[in-house]
Amino acid sequence: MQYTDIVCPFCGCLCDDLEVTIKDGHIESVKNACTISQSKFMNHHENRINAPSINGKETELEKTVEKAVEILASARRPLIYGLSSTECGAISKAVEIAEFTGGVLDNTSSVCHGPTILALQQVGESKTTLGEVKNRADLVVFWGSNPTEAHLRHIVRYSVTPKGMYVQEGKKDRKIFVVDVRETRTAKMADKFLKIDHNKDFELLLALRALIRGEELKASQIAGVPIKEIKTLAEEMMKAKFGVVFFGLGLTQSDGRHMNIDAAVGLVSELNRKTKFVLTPMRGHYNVAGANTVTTWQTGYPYAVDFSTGYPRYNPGEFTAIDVLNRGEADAALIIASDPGATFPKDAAKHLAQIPVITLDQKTTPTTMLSEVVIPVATAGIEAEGTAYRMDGVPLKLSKFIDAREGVCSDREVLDMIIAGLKEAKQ
Amino acid sequence: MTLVIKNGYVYDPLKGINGEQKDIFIKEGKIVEETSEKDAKIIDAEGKTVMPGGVDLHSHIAGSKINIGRLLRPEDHRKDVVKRGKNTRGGVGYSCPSTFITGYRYAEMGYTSVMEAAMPPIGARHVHEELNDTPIIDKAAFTLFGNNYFTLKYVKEGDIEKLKAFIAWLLKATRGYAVKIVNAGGVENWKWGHNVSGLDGKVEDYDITPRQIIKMLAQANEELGLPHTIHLHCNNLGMPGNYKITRETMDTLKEIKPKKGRSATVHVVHCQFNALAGDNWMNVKSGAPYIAKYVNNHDHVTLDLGQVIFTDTTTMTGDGPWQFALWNMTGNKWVNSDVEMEAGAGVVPYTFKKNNPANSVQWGIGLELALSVKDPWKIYMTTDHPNGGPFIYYPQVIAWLMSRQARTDTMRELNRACLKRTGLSNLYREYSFNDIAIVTRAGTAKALGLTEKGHLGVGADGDVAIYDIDPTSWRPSQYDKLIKTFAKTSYTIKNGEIVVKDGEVVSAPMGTTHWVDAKMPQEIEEELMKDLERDFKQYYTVSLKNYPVEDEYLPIQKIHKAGGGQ
Amino acid sequence: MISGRTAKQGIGLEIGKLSKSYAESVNHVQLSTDDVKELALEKTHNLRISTEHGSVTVNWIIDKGLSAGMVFFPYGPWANQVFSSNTDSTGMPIMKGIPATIIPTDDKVQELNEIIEKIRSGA
Repeated sequence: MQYTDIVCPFCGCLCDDLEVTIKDGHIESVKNACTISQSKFMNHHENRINAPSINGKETELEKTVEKAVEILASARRPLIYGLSSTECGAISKAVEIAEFTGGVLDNTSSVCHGPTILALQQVGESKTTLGEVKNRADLVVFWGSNPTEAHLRHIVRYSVTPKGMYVQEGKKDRKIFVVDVRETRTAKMADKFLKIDHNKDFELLLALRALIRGEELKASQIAGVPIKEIKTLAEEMMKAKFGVVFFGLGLTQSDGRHMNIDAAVGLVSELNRKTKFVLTPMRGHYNVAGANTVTTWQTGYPYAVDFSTGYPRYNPGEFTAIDVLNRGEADAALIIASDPGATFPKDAAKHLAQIPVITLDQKTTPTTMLSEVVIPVATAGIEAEGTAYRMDGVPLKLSKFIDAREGVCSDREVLDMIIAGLKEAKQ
Repeated sequence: MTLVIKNGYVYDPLKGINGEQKDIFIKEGKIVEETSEKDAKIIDAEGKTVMPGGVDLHSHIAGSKINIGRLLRPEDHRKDVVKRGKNTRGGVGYSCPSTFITGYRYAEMGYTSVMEAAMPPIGARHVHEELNDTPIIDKAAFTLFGNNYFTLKYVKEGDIEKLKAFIAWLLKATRGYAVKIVNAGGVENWKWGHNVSGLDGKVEDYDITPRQIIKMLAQANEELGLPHTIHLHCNNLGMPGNYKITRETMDTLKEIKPKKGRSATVHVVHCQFNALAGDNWMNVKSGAPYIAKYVNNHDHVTLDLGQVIFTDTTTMTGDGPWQFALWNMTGNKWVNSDVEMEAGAGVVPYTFKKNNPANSVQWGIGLELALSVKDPWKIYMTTDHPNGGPFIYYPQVIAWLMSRQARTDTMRELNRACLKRTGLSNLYREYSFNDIAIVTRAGTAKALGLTEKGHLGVGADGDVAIYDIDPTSWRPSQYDKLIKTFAKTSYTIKNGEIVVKDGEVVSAPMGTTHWVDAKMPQEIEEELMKDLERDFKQYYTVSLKNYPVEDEYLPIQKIHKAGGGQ
Repeated sequence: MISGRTAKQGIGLEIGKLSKSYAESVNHVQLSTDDVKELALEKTHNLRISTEHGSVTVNWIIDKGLSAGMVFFPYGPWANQVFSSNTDSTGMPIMKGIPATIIPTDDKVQELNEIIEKIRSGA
């Protein structure tokens, strides 16, 4: 059985042109998928968690739900975290649980593009959906971003090679710049690579903005980049008919954090006075944008939301998961579609070992290994339907074309059971 | 179970009921003839005002634009936090309310239907997801057409049949209710960082004009027999002197033959922003008299106010270049959001200040329009939420419309520009309760073609608002009472169920999403599909198969048929 | 030291975090040929990488795109042994541009479950 136009549930590219062939209830092959996506589809059934468990001991789903309800109902400060690798219906349930228990709700954007959101809340952002890049962009800058390793088809689907309405020769009609601290494979494919010193992006972005404004710069180099190269980039940016800056964790995770993005936004906004320019954050997980989007429309805030006073409060740096764990403040955690045990710095991760943790995931991870309650769930986009939001905010429907193993429910269904249990417990 | 509302002063303009004391009977969610009160739930509305549930025909409540607004403005949220209740979710309010709060607050004001004014087609799924999280109210969303690649293509080719087929197809694909146009041609030029100037300016890559786009969409709209006219945000919004282009735009549509049964061929939105005279923001003055004169002499136009409220609010429109201009004027934070092949948007916080001469003129213009257009069936009350101000200020607007003293008292606090540069101080007219019922529900429902809304005749949806005010003893000097009364109903009834009592939400069922399914001849549809298949593949970044919104996104829907399938 | 995602890490984590592919994709650092020379790093050596916040033993490979004085550490449980969890009140710890020291070592590279044990014991 062949399925076409399947949406890939891995990264923020959310490619929707995959072709999946199913035979005897298994995925036989996937076409148009990048190597990571291939791995996801072809290995989705491997190493799946065998059964729900409490303290490592296998048991029935109902018992794990009961235990989860017990833990959350008696917690004073539960942390609900993750959400970027599941569909929006599940995310909606997580918000409800956080509100019901008066806990803290956070998602993986706090360690990814949270700083981009902080910058947006300060100065805004000039953005577009990816089709405009495909159709119009004649200048593309990858800043602190390495799509050849993290967004494998971005270059062929959106930003470099595609032939667009006004960019009919594809890559030939585009100038590609890469700004990074090292020469990545992305840099190698660019027309020009600017090697920048560590933690100096802020200075370089401001310098470019000053040049765009017509200021003179008295320096021979800025951020380790020779002034001639900086001036060339500024000129090319102003000459472009439609320029775009794609930026990634190189900006969000180095010293300036949200101030780096603030500077990038400022540069692009300034460029809009001369020509058309946009910027796009390279969102990592396939539905981290969805986690922000759903949380924002339901609570007003995108992540780092606290419900302890009965209404949503927002304070990144205080209610973000790593900080909550650093302070040893959470006395329980519900982790959905994420692996903080593997991805958080050790001092934050170790607090997870000190508190009862409930984790919903498909496969064993460091987080499930640290959890009291582990519930195996269906893979969204393969075994469960739902919506996901692409890195540029475009919403697509994830398909289900394989049944999950007997007894394995979706994230949304399990969270629904937990909500029902919590409401009953309250009475 | 029958619900009976007894002895209220009923305002049902579509049925000619003007403050009569009358009983209303609701059974199985619909208004019915008078029937037995045995076993019925009785609501005593003695001394109270009873109206059909409010119908807001233009508001920004769901989708990527309003969500950008929410994301952009944590500082706005902190002003207005809402705790979760027994039956209600928590959230935030003010200018960019979260979805649950949006539904509750509209219902608290007695509104039971709200139209999302602008839906970018590729983001339709997002709009519907948010509408599904907006409790109580019935809703619909207007699909953006005015800068869509296919619209421009068919306008350029002069192919009205294909354009009609496209409209029918896109309304279905997006589950939209009406044809929305924002700065026709200008948002397409903005894809290169430009705008379009004037009705006959050039849409660069297509060599067509805004006039052509608007006319052809209007013609297609009427020939398709869609329930609402085109919903039009005119070119040159926010530019002093623009009353001229607004008037010219209205005039260019008088030749369009309206659908049978109506005389209107266009609804001009938030007209205040497009009724500016003067040359620049220093000498801006009211263009309302010219617009009102035109509307008074022609029957093919309806408009809504876009009334200014003096507060810190958030502007958000699909008019990308206008929002860029506003950023340059104010220096406030700015989000621009272009949508491939289809549309654009921009969000910029803005504060309307009483001591700002331009703002005081703008405030005056909205009300001057409302009071100068003689026929209340042509002009509706909105603030273009949240552009002119948050919808929670509707009661304040009602007060200004119904009480000259309310207007005068406010004017005293304003910069004198309002006095000098608008005609508002010379207008003594005061809206009656009947007028208010028209401009907030009967007229809007009629303009929208929602035949079961906006009235209390037999067969109407059982959507009723009961306000704690005695219209026979109320005097315009008591405008504070209006503000209080219209903010929180005694009862709001939705589909025969009490959802609000004494200003508090007691039940939050999900409302219905309305959309239009227009039929086109099969051969044209087939031709259209060929274009779509080819152009989606070449130019879009999503596949055509994944584009139309699936049924699952509309758990409760009502389909309005139009065109051949009527 | 900078960290980041790699395609191999993506492929590995989709097989599963307990898989050999995953471990191999994240239990190493990439460094320049210059640094390998300067350290006299042998194929039999592992590398001990330390920051202010912790240290960990890892495998190593050469990446020609790196210049002297820069190492790339793929994002994962090994890298998290050396990051600070301080976010400077932004929610985001610094994960790029961190000063680090590297020395050749004969120490063993830990297995994933040893790292989990370490986390569990609160060390």
